[in-house]
Amino acid sequence: MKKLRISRDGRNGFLFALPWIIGFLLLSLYPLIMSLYYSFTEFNFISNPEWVGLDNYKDLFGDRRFYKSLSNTCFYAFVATPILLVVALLLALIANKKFKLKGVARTVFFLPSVIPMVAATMVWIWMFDPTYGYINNFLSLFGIEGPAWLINPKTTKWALVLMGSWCTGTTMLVCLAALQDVPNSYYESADLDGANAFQKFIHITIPSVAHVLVYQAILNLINAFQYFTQVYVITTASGGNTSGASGGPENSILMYPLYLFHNAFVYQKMGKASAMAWILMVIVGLLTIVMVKLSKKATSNAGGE
Amino acid sequence: MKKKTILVLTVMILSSLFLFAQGGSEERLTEDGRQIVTYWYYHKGNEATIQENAIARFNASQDEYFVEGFSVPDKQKYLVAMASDESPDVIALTNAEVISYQTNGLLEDMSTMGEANGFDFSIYDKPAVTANSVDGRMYAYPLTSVVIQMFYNKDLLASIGETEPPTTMEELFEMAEKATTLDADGNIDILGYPLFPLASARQELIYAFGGRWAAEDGVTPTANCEGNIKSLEMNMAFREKYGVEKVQRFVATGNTNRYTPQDIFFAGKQLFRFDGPWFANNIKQYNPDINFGVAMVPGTEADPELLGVSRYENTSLAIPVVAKEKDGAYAFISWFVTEGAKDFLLEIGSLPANNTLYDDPDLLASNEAFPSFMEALKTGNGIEAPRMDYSAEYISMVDEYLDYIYNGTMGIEDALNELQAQAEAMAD
Repeated sequence: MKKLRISRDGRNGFLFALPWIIGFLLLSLYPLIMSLYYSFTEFNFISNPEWVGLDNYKDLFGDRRFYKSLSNTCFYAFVATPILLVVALLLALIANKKFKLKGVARTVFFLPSVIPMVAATMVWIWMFDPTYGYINNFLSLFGIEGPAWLINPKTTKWALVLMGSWCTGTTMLVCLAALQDVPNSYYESADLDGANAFQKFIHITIPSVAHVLVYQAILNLINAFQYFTQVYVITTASGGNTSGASGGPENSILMYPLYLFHNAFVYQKMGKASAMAWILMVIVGLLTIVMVKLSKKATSNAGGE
Repeated sequence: MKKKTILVLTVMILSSLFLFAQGGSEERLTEDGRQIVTYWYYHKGNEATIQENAIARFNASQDEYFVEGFSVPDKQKYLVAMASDESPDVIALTNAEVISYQTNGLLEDMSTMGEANGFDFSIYDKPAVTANSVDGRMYAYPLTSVVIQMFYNKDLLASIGETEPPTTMEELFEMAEKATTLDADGNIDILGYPLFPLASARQELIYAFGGRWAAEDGVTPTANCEGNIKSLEMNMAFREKYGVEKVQRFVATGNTNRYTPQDIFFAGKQLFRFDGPWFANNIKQYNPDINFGVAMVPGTEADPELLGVSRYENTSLAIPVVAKEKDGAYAFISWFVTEGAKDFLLEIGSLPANNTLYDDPDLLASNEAFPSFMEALKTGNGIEAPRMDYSAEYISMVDEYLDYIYNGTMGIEDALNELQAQAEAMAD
């Protein structure tokens, strides 16, 4: 049998990569495997895990709040994602125009993305105040009585969407880069053919940036399934939660990661929380596969045009 | 790669892991030979300084132990530390957390330790003992108490022709209706009924009618008991009279601006407010012109002896089962809840759990609300939170179903019956 020989460069490369490999094995792979094991156990941090088979999964599939958290998260993922993409694309289109103070506008559009989410959420809680909040005061200028955003379960998730649409700087930046890659000759040809601005947007801009939009949609969708900080702050901050319920009024903003967190660190059901994490991984994995297939289809269609 | 290189690397990695694992097990002593005891508390800022002052007083009185205090506001770290063999020896936590931790077997039996050390348990009234016990054993010694009583705006009371606060909920409702006013758009301008803060809607407003979320044993859910239904009927009668959404909007504003200069009580827009003794200091800080009084939470015409009924909560001190210096931890805790309590309470402005301090003149003089609150403590009408092993989930469900009722999404009895059925299913 031929002896496997590793070159000097290969050995050095391996040694350089070794710290990461050790970190990956100990801090990523090991916890991942252990969480799968814990999902089949009853476990509370301190006591030894006790094997319970599929009980945690059965418990979850019979748990009303599990479905509620999943449905809340799906609402946010499938309603907020397209809205946020549209907002980001519109901002990118504005930022791509030539006008005075373009640099200032770009900075202003991106600024929310660098503000710590906890601080931003606290400010939004005040902005959503039904009596003194800026949003309802603004609406009242047009004779509209704004809703009780964070206390009415019908409006709480829309408040989150509004909050999210304010913070689309990163997506806007990626869209802007894609827009700048669209060859100007396309628009010049369209001008010669007498196309109006809307036609150019639909037939040139959108197909040209479709691959980026789909990629951003995948990322935003995955992020939406991990949506935690904002709802955690709202439900725990003084003045934020206008309900005693741990997931906001009628648990209307009990997002999947928040319920997972409650199971792990409030109810100390680490086994159930691990099971939730694995179900989330499967859901996000499946969604990613679907989105990647759609992405390929979208980009090939765009190429076809 | 040469075998020798691989061997050296493997030995280095294993050695470092071994040393890392051994790091937490060594005994820790001060230079003068005192045993070091670690104490984690969740207080921060000025309250952390007050904790450190108490620790300094204990250390000055000691030649055997030395307490090192750490402010750890994030209590998840308690659990992580306990799971990773880096546990503190003493932890400060709420009585609800004591129950939650101990239902998972995380705390030392303080009844047994106290019996072995001759601790005088008579310093605690029944609510204090029960609130920190699981299966009849105490797993923490309470240091401070929290009860909620009634603040009222004397000027608003006078404006409806009354001079004395109500002693029954029926009287309170009548006064609340008279005092509630609307603006030109039909929105509430002054709120008479104490629907805010929200926590009172689950607790004092329920307890005042004899309602309870758990039976006397603390573990049997009683979500659909008569007292709960009666209370919610009165709460809903008020909400429906002024419009559920209008009331909710006012409550939301109250909640967002709680304890700020725009707080609805400080702004003179709330007649009755169920709150803690700290509220008297808040009033002085934000609007000293508010002419306020303090009285006990009313009972009902049928049960006047419920006067002063309130949730009963503590900040308590416990020893994790995985703590290393348990004797030192016990010495510190038993000192803190007895000799060390008064100075700490005076500094932090909290009510005592130790009943020998109820009549302490210095404490009574330290806060103008304290006399009423101490009287409430003496009634023994403090209601401890449910103590079932799923109590955290149960309370969360109670709050969720109260939302359904208060928002008009479900009827009172339907919601409470469904809640009761779910709680019983969890118990099974």
